[in-house]
Amino acid sequence: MTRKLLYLNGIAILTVILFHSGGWGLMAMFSWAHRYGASPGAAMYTNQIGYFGLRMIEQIAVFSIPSFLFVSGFFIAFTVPAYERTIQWHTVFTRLKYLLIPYLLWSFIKVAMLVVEGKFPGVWETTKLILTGSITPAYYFVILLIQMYLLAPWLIRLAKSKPAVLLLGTALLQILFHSVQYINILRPESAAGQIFITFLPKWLFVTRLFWFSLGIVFSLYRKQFSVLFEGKTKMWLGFTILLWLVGFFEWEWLTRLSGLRFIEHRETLVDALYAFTFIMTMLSFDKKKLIQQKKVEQIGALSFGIYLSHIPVMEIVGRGIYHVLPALLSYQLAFTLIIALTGLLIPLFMMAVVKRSPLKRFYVYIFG
Amino acid sequence: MDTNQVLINYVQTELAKGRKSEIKPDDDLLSEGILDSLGILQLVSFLEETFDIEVDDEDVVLENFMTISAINDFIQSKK
Repeated sequence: MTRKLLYLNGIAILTVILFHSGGWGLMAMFSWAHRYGASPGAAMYTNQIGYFGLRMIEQIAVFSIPSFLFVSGFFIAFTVPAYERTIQWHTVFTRLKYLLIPYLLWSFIKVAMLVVEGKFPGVWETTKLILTGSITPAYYFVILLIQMYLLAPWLIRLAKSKPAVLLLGTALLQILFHSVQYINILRPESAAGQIFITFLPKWLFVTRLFWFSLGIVFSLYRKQFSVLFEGKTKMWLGFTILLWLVGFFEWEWLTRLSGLRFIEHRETLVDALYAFTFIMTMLSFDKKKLIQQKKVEQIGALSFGIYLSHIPVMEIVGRGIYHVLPALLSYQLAFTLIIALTGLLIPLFMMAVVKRSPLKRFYVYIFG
Repeated sequence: MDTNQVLINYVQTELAKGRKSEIKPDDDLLSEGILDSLGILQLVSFLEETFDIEVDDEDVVLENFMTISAINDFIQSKK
């Protein structure tokens, strides 16, 4: 179980990169079509393979954030000695320091990019965006993780005394959050939709508390939970593939019901079940050797730094192509692939350079 | 090179990432922030490969990874 967590983290960051590059591909398809002489959205109809290819990538990546949180929960529980009731605040703050400083650094880089573009939103708005992880859409995860660590002392205490209460309570919250997404998708203008959008932003801990708690409980009760997945790889893999397919078609169905040509992806109940079965599948592999295990694990170990730095890299590459090579935007899959490769390789290169330079003592403050 | 030194070198070069300039055998790796969660996983792989031991799920507990000395004791117990 434990030995596959680094691999899970590696797969998760790789699919996050694919997911975000897919977002750029969809942007080229829907918003930048004028750059290659197509009408907005028409590209989708002339390039169905591209559209469904990008949607498949998006659907695969749904497990990523739950997986990161699961792994984080697993290891925060690990740092508690058996004789202690919960984690020490000192350990929490040490961990937070190495999350917060790199997050602020990369957020300021993003702010600098906005300034260069002439889109600086002002000091107050920028502060709000940074505090809610919204300076760029992907950074909400860091704010989420920080909240999880701050809650960890109470969550671990509850996990040690009443694990079932913690799991059931957070699972119910998770179900509520995903159920609300259907209202947000189908009736975004309704009063209920507006309330949920306002009070359940994706950076708020309640929207993902279950996954972090699940990691904590699995870590503390490893032996008891291992019966759920040991020797059950085929079953969990089967469920994962099935739920991925159901999730894919569910989204197409929801898009049609919404009456819109394209809607930004939101995690539904089916997606949450898929994420759960994906994690269980990975844990069930245990001692089995997986594809490119060593390399994926190495990438997994660098996941936080990659997560922070791939966003500005992708933005620079994507907008660079928009201005310099707009014809490439009409080949959305090729464009997506370029964004994905540069989104992975440039951060890895930057990390290697920092590690070998006098800046290496600041490495942890740059990449975590 | 003795086991302690091998471990110190690995933690220093691969995992500490500049968090501490000199690691001693009894430094608390977790509370001092020298090791993070992903670092522990890397360390498990390193121990299995370098010392030819198998680290089971139940071995991955804080007591075995708290300090370089604790890791060393754990390795000896697995041999």
